[in-house]
Amino acid sequence: MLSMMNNDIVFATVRELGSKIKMLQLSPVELTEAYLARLETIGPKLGAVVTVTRKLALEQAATAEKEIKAGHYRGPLHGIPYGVKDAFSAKGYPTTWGSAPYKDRVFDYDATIVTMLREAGAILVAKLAMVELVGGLGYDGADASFTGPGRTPWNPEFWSGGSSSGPGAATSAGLVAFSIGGETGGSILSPSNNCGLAGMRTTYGRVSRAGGVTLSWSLDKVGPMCRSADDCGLVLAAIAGYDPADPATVHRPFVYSGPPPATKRYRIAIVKGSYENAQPEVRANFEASWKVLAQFADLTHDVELPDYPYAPILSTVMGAEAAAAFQELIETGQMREMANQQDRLNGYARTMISAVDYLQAMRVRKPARLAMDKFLAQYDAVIGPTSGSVAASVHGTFAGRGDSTPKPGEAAAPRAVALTGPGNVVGVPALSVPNGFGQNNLPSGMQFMGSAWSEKTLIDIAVQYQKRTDWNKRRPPIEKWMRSETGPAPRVPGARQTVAS
Amino acid sequence: MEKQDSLFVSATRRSFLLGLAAAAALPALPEALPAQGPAPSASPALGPVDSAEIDSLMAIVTLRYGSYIGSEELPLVRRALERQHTGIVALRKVPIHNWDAPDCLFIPDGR
Repeated sequence: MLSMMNNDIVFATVRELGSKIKMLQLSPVELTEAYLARLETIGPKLGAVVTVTRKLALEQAATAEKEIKAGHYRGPLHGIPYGVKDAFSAKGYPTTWGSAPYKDRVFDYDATIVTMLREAGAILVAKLAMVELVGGLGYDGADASFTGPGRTPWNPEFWSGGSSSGPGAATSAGLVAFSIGGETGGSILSPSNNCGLAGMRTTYGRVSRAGGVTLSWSLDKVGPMCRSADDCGLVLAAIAGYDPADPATVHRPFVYSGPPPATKRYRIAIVKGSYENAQPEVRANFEASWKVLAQFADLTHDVELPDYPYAPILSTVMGAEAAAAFQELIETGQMREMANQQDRLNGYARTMISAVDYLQAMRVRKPARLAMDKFLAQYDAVIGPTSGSVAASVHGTFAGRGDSTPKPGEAAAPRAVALTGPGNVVGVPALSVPNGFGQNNLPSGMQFMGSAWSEKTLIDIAVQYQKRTDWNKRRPPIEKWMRSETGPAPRVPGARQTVAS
Repeated sequence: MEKQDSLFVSATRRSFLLGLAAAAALPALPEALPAQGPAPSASPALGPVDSAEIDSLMAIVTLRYGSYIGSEELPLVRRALERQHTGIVALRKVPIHNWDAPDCLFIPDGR
């Protein structure tokens, strides 16, 4: 098997890597070793890694290589190294949920997605950092993880997003070929925006959550985070499907081999209120994207989402379910061990959401879902900026939330967006792709949101967009940051970076 | 069974009321705080009734979890309650019918 190892290969897409591996032009073992080396050197600088699964990875890589050489090729993920958010268990390795109380906990089983990816031939190289307890307690700063702030490889003084902070940073920095994240209220889309990735929130019930942390039974979703929209399709095809261990999952196959020929004109609607108050660069990037989309889609401007109080629904449902899911931590006072001050305190307030108020939120959710379903049925996708701003600073709190312009010395803050909250409330899919750069040379993103189970259409549209742009082919200047004496801070003491061989 | 349920509810309510009474005996929380914590800001969305509700909830939080919360942190907890309450008030304004069921499904055979 020829070795084609160079610095370019670690930034290749899953499709490119898979093609070379299938043709015996690329060794899964050498590829795995390359990613392991980057995880162990760059990973700590970005706060991206909790545990490098070196021993398991090399075993799986050797097996993959042997199988492929023997002609037993399993498919496009065979021999591809990936990382999983530390929300999901991997047998024999710590599963921390990003939080100090669980930093040494080890489960003796794999999450369903880990099992499915192993069966697809993918190689688990790392458990990736995340915001503590999936960010459901209302954290207000990048410090909300026991491994320290997640940093975007585009500029490590800025946040990688969350709660899937490690998957975002690691995939963008070429530490893994792809990763798996989870989303309840924006945890895949936010790091995809901040790190310049293609990240997909799947339809509620599309991918099993079994073996993963629960933040909210009725909101939690799982999805791929990749360097191209096409890769999202390849990964999703391997992890979608019914799982008796997760009663939310359904018997609804997802098949993806590649985008169809560009013969169809899509119907895309631009959501009013999603971009007008965004940072100027984010707005300009979004508006520039319209011209590209118009090459293969009919655009309808300024459509309005059905009018429901999505944010209160989301906060009430997530708050009540999180208070129940983490009741033990709340009642025992272990919330004191959280890294972020809001995370240490908000759980107590969440226990005060009454059963009646929770049920009222779930009652309002139903007409909201039905109205959104009717609305989305008119289009192949609706679009808006993934976030109104580029990444916020890793320093301090997310001050200035909602302000158009950060104060001097203050980083751009995450701000409310029109699509992410509503989409999570009603459980529909969305795909974020990079569409330019803004302040501090940080990436901006655009999200495509569609009807339930429309992942294939969203991917097809995003692939057409990425065929006409090169934003997803840009690489973060990570080597520059690694060389810089004033580069990102070293890892937080106590964080685990290279253990559990 | 019905009697047991009734007794359980009664006992729970009594405990709740006892808790409220005990909470009322505590010093008024914001005023009792040291100065180093940020002062709780009154939300413009909250009226006097809402503020009284927040006071009651704050008292329960303090009774249940006060040993885990530093005095300087109490204003932050109160602010979280205010934010939470503001959202809940917004939800209460959405018109829904008596027969509108929550968007969750109980399945008797679990399938």
